[in-house]
Amino acid sequence: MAQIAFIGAGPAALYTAQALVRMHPDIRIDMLDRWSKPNGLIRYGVAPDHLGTKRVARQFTRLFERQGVGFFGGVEVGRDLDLCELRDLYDVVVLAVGLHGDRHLNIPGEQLPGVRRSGALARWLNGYPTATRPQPLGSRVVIVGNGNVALDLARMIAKGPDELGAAADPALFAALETGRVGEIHVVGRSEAAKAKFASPLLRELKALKETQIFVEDLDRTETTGLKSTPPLAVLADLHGSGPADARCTLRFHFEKQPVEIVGKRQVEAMAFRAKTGTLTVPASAVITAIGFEEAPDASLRRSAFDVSGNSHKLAPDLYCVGWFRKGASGSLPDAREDGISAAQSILSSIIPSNVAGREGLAALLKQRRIATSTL
Amino acid sequence: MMKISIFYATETGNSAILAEDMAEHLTERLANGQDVQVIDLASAKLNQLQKDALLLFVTATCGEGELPRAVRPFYDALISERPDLSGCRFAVFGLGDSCYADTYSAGGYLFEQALLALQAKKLLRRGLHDASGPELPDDAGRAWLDKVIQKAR
Repeated sequence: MAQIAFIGAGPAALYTAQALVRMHPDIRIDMLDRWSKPNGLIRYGVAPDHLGTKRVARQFTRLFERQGVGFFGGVEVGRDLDLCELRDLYDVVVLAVGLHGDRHLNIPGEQLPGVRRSGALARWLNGYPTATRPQPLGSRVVIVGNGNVALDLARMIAKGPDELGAAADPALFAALETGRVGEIHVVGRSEAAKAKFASPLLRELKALKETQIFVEDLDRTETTGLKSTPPLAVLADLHGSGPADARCTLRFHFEKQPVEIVGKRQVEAMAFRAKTGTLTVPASAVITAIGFEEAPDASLRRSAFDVSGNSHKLAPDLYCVGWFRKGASGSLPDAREDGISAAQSILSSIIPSNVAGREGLAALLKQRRIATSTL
Repeated sequence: MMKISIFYATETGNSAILAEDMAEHLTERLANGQDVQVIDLASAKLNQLQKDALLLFVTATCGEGELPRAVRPFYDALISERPDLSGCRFAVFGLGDSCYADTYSAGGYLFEQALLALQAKKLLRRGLHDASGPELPDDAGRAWLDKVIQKAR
């Protein structure tokens, strides 16, 4: 029986494993993850108020419960064991570690206290076990980014505790004192028409109970006649929505280039370059939501492999999937598609041999006194 | 002997899993004398809509109330080639997320309308599952399937 190990147990690994099991039930799969629980970004990235999306994880429980996939949590390849050791133990090893570093703006003032990172903040709001307790946000929040991560954070901060839903832990939001935020600014470089906001997520903002929404920099003459062109039409529709006596205002800004985060000991404002001059927004917190890249502490580096983004196969016994393969873009449907084609690629050339597999890995970890978490 | 084809349209995989679970449920429930097939609409052909089979559709809703990207070729072929489905019996189960209220379960609605326009006979009201609701998709799917079987007999 062929034995395959995944490094990483997030969506990329899970969809690949699901496809492998579907196409070839007679395969033994193990997943290693540096976190103690599987599901990666479904657990620590998907917004906790998006219960329906969180529940995509339901389909993966059967992999572990019924389909014999093994889980070794709290194990980091590159620290606890080397990749070559793992390759000796399995017929195929799949790199599915993702990219969990927050991209930086690289502008002055970025090191000031009060500057937060979207990935780290999402991990906190999802109850990531070792995330350090963040400081409260204060009353004015600037979110830099024109994508769905920025929208998720803006929406969650704007929500009152009764709007968050069953999957969110109110205590984690209370630590940020989200209820005291009176102004949220979502600022991005792109023009409104090119913002990477998904329209359903924009539309969802209309349901906010405590927040009034304004959209700056939207040429309203341009949006008439463009009713069917999201996101412009949706943004135009959002402008002015929400109760007039709202606790909070959410303001969108476009075509603003980040210049500097201003403050003495703590964030006080953020400055942007606009077409017509400078925009300075007073802020108690700045959240960057401009994408993800390799984290400085990543133990497996893309540069160590010939990751071109074209092929899943790196060597006859080594494959890569998901963000680690093609960079940090794409959502769950993309991960599923990628996983299916990775599984086809693996099955087309895997040759089962007499490797030590699961038992060999367990013995090695025991010998090194590395405690692992199981499910 | 009942012949049942379960077609699924999925983007995150939920509909695929549900379709497989439904097939398993049917196999258990009908013991012997059934012929249940699970078919991914991403790779299905129009001639798989067989007149002697009970046609079940399990479909997700995506984006702006659209069908999953991968099944659009099948749907477009259905609309443009207009196969005659008179005599076919079908039922649709739509998965949705009430978080996106405007487009809730729109994918299921699209299929239902397309099949009705081709003279197929709808056996039962569209089944629904809300990903943000309290019910498990499996439970909703089984309850719906039991009603379908009752009607089909």
